[in-house]
Amino acid sequence: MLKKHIALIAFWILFMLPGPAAAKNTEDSLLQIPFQQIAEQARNHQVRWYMFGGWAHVNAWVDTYVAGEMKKRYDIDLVRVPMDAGIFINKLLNEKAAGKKTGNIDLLWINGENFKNAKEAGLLFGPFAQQLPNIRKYVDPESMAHDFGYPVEGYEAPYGRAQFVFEYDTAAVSAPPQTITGLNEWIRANPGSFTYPQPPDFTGSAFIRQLFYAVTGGHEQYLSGWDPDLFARKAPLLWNWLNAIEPFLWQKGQTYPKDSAFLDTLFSRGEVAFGMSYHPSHAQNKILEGSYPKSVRTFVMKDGSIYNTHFTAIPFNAPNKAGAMVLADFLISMDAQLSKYHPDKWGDFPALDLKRLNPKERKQFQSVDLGPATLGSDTLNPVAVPEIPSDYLEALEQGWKEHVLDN
Amino acid sequence: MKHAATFLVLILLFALPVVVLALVSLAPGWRFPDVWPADFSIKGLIYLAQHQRQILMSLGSSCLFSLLTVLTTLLMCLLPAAVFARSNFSGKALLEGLLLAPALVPPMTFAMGLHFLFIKFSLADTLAGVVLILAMFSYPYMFRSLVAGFQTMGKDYRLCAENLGAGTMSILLQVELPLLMPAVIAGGSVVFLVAFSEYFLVFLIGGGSVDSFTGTLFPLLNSSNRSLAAILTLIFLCLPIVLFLVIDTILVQAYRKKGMI
Repeated sequence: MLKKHIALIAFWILFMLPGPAAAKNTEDSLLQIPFQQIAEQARNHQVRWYMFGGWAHVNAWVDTYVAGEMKKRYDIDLVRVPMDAGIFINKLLNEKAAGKKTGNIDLLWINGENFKNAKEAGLLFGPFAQQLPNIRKYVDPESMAHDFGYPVEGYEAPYGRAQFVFEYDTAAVSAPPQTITGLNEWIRANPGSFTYPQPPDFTGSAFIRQLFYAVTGGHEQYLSGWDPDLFARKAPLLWNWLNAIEPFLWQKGQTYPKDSAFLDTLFSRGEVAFGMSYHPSHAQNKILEGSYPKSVRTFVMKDGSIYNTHFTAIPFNAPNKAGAMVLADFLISMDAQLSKYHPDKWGDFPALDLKRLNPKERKQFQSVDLGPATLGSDTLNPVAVPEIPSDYLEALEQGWKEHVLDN
Repeated sequence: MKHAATFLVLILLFALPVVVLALVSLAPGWRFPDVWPADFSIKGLIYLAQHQRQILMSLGSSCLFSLLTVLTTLLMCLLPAAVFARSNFSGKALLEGLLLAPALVPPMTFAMGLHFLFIKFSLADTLAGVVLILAMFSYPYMFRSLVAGFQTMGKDYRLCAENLGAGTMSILLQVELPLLMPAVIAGGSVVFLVAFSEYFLVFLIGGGSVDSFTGTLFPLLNSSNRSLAAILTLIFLCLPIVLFLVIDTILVQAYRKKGMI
């Protein structure tokens, strides 16, 4: 055992290299110099943005609109690389351990537990957010203070907002349930027509978090941070709820859709009555894409619907940090947020504070036609509840497997 | 009659799914109980046209690293395979088993550790790194095939050539390699397909700097955009077929020139 440890330590020492002092200084200056100079440094370089690549319309928006504007405004070549957050975190962890000072990722699309893990492992550069003029101008500091209950401290720049919605086909269901209790009754009355993606799928995990709030008496109690006793007391209520409906689920609950794409497919084929998404405009996108019937609409539960902000962050070894900052700033600009809001582009909700815009700008946002399937902020805002701290998220995902799947 | 039945089964198994794929690629909203899609849409094709440069680049990059992997595995395996086919020594069976292990062990198990080493040796995020890691777990297919090739060939050609005064290099290049071609192609095809279909390793070691077709395809397969996923799957399907046709044509011509068929 001891021998093994010594060998391991020797191995690490052999490969550890001291960090470069000079490079560190110019990087730190990026956190002080005016944005004008940052943009000047970034000119005529490449920026590599690593992001989830599974949405064709989002890819198209980045490749055409964002890339075009970055070229035009800053003479920056944007390269979009499709990579899931889990993979790039692993990559960065290895690079950090191996002491690689210059990586190949400039900007990440990240949030939640991935951000927490990355920040705790020292994988991120910052705090850079307050250096970006558009953040100072348009973003409510309160709205970007926490990401899944974890303090952001300027290591991420917000660029979009999402909220959990359910989807139904008006041709098949006339009155969808309004509350979690109503949903429970509906599931029992219509066996085989409801299911949810298996956590840790992003959407399935969000679904059980929302239920967790609803069946344990609201979200407020969890927001002050991880409390194992509280979790141990409250979680059984959720497991009981989920196990009680299991026999009435699709395939009698013996199996669950492995991800939200699978649920989308089941829903689009009419095999289940409800779809769900963490993106209010998802149904509208699917209608425009031709995958969903035109009669699909979305709804939210009165018990609350969780929302989150998604962010961009810069890795510690980004080769072009100045360029990454310019891109992060552009993404939260009025123009990019407005373009992104259009459902034929993406339909992602703005992360900027509409109150900080002048009346003309605000009107531009308000006059965007979200399409018939997307709920307006007048319906979404009153039921919006914040995300749970990510320790609960991980405990819920783990607990679901143990108490619901394997039960 | 017997052949007709076989043929029918083959068509049902292989051609019918392709027809369904082709239909889905044009009709993402095709749903039960419609036997024929109610609506067609060319949105998928439009995306394809918009991103043609990116998709072609990734296809090209995938082909390039897959071909280089085939070459690397050939270089790695040629001499060891000759030894294994020709001589007997103690521990041969054990060593052979060990050499085949990388094909049986999931690459994930050693990929993370290797990634660390590759970063150290500046191989991460490079084409060379991707080729090496792919060769490292796909060489057993080439190795098995070459051993079989050497065994089929026997020792006689080599003896003949030696008696006629040929040196080691010229025996290898002018006598053995041409005779081994069928084995190289059999092994190489498998290696090519394994390398071409690999997603995670290329991503981890290539780090997004080395484009791959699977890297473009997988995120879209994991989304519910069925039309686009179907189109890209069809492309994925066509590529090996095209490759085999090309190899076949080249080979037949080469053999014909030499009067071997």
